[in-house]
Amino acid sequence: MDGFDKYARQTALPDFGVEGQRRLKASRVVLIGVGGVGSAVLPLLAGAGIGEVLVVDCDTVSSTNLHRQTLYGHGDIGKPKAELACIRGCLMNPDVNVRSLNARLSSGDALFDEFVKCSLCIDATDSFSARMAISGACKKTEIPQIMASAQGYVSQMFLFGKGFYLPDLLAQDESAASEKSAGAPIFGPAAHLAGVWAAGQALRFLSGAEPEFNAGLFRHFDFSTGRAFSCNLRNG
Amino acid sequence: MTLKIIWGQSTRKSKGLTVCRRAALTIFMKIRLNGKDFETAEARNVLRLLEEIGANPKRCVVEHNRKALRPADFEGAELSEGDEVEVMAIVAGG
Repeated sequence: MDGFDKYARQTALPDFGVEGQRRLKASRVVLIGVGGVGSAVLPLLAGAGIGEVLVVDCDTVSSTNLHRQTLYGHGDIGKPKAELACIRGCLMNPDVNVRSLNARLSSGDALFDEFVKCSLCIDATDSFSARMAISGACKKTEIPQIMASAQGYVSQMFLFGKGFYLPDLLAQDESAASEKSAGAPIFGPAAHLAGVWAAGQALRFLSGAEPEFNAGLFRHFDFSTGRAFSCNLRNG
Repeated sequence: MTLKIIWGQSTRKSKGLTVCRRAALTIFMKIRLNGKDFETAEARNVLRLLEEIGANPKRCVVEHNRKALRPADFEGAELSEGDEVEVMAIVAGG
C-alpha cells in the first residue's frame, strides 16, 4: 500500500482511498501564521501526510499566547514560532517535509515566490493588512486560499479562488494598515475551530475527496450564542 | 409596520398634565436581525441598517433574505417588513 498502512483509517474514508493519500503526499501547502489558528492546522496537516508544509511566521512565543497556541509550552517563551512549529511538525510525522520561514510579509517577493510552487495557501495571521496582502498575492498567483480567523468567541473561515479573493470582498480602508488583532480577547476553542475548518477543507480538497474548491464559501460560528452561519459570497 | 408617537424634547409636566409641544408619528418596520426581532425607524436599506447598529460596512458579511450581499450591494438592498438579515463582522485575529 505504498507505505500508507499507517493512514489506513483515513484511506478507508469514502472518496479518499489510497489515491487520495497519494495526492496528499504530492501536495505542498503554505501555512502563514502559527498562532492560535495555525496551532490547530499544522498537526492535522502533518498527521494526515501532506507532502510538504512551509510554515511562515515572524513572531516569537509569549506567555499570553499559551492559552490557545497549543504547539508551544512555557519553555518556548521568547523563541521563534516558525522554527518551533517546524520542529513539532517534523516530530509528529517524519513523512512530512516541514520547512520554516521566519519572515515578515513586508519581506515580500521572496515569500510570494513560494506561492507559485504551492497547491494551497492557508492564512492564519492576525491582522487585516497581512490578510489583504496574502490574499492579493494568492490572487496574483491564482492559487486557492483558505482564510481562517477568530476573535472573541467567534470563528470564521473564507475560501478564496477562481478570481474571488479578499480584496474583491473588502474595500481597502486606511485604518487597515495600522490595525492589528494582537492583544484583542480571543477564546482558545474559537481559534482552534477556525483551524480545524481550514485543515478539513484543505485535506478534502487536496486529497480529491472534494475536487471542486468551493471558492466564496464563508463559515461563521459564535461560541457565546451557539449560532452557526454559512453562505457562498460568490454566488450572491 | 408600526406607527408610534415619538414625543419631542419639549414634553413637560404642567399642573399634573403632560404637555407636549412637538410630537411626530414615526413608522417603525419590524425585521429579523441575526435571528431576533428588530425595529427600525430609519433603515430603509441594508447600508442604513448597518449604520444604525454601528457595524462597519467595509468589514462585514451580510445576508439579506438568504441571499449573500457584497458591500457594493448594501445601499441598493431595500428592506421590507419581515425581512431576514444576518450581519457578521469579519474578524482577522488568529
